[in-house]
Amino acid sequence: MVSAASALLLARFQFAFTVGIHIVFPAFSIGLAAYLAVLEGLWLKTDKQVYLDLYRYWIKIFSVVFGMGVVSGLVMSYEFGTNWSVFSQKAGPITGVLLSYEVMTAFFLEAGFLGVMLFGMNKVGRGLHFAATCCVSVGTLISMTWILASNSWMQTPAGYSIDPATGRFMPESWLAIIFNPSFPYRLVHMGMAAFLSVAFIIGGTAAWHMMRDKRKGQPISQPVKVMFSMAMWMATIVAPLQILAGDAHGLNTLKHQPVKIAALEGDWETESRAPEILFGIPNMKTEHTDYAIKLPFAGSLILTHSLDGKVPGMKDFPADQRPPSPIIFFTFRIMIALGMLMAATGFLSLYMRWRGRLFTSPLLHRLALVMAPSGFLALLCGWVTTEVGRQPWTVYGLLRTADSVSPIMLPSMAISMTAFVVVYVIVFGSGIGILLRMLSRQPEEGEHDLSEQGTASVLGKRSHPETVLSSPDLGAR
Amino acid sequence: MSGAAYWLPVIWTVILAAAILIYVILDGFDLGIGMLFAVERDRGRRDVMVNTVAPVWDGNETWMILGGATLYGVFPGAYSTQLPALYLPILLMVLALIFRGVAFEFRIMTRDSGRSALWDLAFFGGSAIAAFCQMNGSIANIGRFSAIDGQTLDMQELQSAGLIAPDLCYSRGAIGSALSHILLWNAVVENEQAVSIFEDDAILSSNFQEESTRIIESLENEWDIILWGYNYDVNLVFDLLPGVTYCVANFNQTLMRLGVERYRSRPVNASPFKLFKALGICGYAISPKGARRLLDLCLPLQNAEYWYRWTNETLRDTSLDHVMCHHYEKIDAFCCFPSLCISRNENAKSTIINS
Repeated sequence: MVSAASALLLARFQFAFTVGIHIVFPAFSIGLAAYLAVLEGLWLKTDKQVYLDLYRYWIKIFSVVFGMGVVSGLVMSYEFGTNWSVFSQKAGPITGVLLSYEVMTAFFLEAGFLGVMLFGMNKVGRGLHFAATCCVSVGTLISMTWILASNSWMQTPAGYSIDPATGRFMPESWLAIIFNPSFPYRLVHMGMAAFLSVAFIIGGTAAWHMMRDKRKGQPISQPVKVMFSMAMWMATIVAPLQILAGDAHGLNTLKHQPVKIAALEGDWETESRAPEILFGIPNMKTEHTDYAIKLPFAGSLILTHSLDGKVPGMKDFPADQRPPSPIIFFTFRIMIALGMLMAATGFLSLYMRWRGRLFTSPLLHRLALVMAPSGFLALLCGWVTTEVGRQPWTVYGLLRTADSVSPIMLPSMAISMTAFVVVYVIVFGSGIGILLRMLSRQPEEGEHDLSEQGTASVLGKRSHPETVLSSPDLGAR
Repeated sequence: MSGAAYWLPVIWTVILAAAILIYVILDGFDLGIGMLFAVERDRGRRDVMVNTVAPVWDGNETWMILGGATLYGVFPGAYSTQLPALYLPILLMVLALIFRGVAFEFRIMTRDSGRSALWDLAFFGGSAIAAFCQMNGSIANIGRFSAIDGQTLDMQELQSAGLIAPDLCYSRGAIGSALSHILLWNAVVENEQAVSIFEDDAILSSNFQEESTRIIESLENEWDIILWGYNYDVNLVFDLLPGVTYCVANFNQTLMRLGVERYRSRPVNASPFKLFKALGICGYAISPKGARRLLDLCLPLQNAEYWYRWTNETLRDTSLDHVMCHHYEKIDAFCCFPSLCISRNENAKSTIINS
């Protein structure tokens, strides 16, 4: 029993670890692909060199990020089977099919046009290349749509029947499955989160270059200015919208998963005119939130939009159906705080823009630099909140996590967990190091193309004359 | 089973096979390029090699993701049994593919920092290990063994080898089948590793993997043979309450044959009992110790009749399971009850009776 319980725990840690690292890269790709499409569109429309420079600068980042997303995603598509075989057997007829749709409609589109996008700038026409960029961007969005349909279905299952003989979830209505009650809210919330995360990375990069230029006494280059301005517009407009979307998502969760709301709020008793607990430490054993600092009426106001609305408490639900409140209580609050800070950054930038100090305000630049990883941090906290909040279920209310795991023994699980941690630290640690190094180089005016860098030696143009000489067919040119 | 219910699995099998074939052809090229890194030292030429696959490797790998996702969505039963069974090969393969995948970008991006050689190594190692796991992953746990054809056997040779006695009255099919099992027992002894052996017509319960693992664990190495299933046309005798009473169980084979589809889709909660008498060996696990004991006890196969005291019946030895059955009481033999696999046991189709 001890061994089975630890194997389950390790399987859960492993999933949290691998998916937590994975999710950053697709989110990065979603936001960056859209940004690249916008940049190339602006370049085609205005023919201004600065957009092309920025495109060429960010596409190098994109190629690294996309590669890391693909390989970490490959792990996920097999991990369902290796570690969660009972889940995949029972829910496979629904989640597996959604995943297949994702592969067929999104991955092939992305993978097919990625080559053209990365290496085809000088080989195909401008219009065709723009189309390839758009296809990749649309592919990332389609991919997000399917995977969120699958995830939302696990949160708020709909359109299924349970086969009495096997206990399998059988699809009854695909429309009901895909457009399950929480799907639209999650899709909007996640999409905006991806855009915001990337906007803050771009803004932070630009701020860092501006601060460095200022220290060196150099003028700020045009590409840096343009990308900072674009990123701050994004923060100004999308961050407040994201708060509204998050609020709507919260109301939806209250309707379908009230115990999740109770747990992330640290509320134990069901009450109207409920206070909002700003800080506290929920204790699952004593069924009490210790050291609570409360704001009267705010809980009801936020969750029900009325002062005397009824807010659920965890004691209304059996103890074995409550998610671990101490985790999601904090991740939820970190997410909210970061969201508010992002909106504040947006407003500050709007003020500075109005006063004409967008490119000179040290305060704004410092804030933008510090906030660079905030989008991804908030995104991860949000995911922890919603996924841990789904516990103890994999398919909400129907299939328990403890009943979903593979019959894998503790040693195998421990070996794979260790291997994943070691490999991920090496690979993704190096990857993030490489990304930071790439970002620390300023976008140049007349930025060179990715394909020139990669194919340099093939064409014998740049750094390897010895290759040209040693290769007879190239040397003959 | 007509129309869509019959054709859908066939169509999807073809699609799945096509996806795997396309993956093997396309990414096989990429992995080959990676492995050739070991014999090409020149950096410029290495760049040429990488650049031939850099724009397409991602698309090629998508076929493999399609294979995984299709298996997951269309054959969740196969997906959820095969992947845990192939746990470590698959783990190694995805880790290798991670290194291979990121090396495309990393080896170029780290060129000026001197770590590029490491990512070149990652590209080679990742490619080689991934290819190795893909080759071996499929044969890691399940081997398929063609039965020995009784028609082609030389009886004289078998006699002089001490496998059969001259008076043996098995049919040729029964001899072939018996020798197939005996050959596998020898392999078990040689490899010192327990295996499960199934005849072609064995039908497993939906949770066979979990249940069989659990039962083997619960017996803690103190077993010679565990019958996952047995024939339903004869009685089964097992030690229901040790020291209190045994149990003689009867089945209805006709009903069982009608219910095969239902059985296949349903989980079975079985317990192991000390076995006294059972005929039919459609599926069983055998330990090295058990294989050694059975080889000693059963060979040479000879003409015999066995009396069973629990049911007071005498049966003529016409196939290997009779002589095994005769010895079950003496060795650590167990049966699963209810059975975790069934066999239609259709005599008309069986070569054992006919020839």
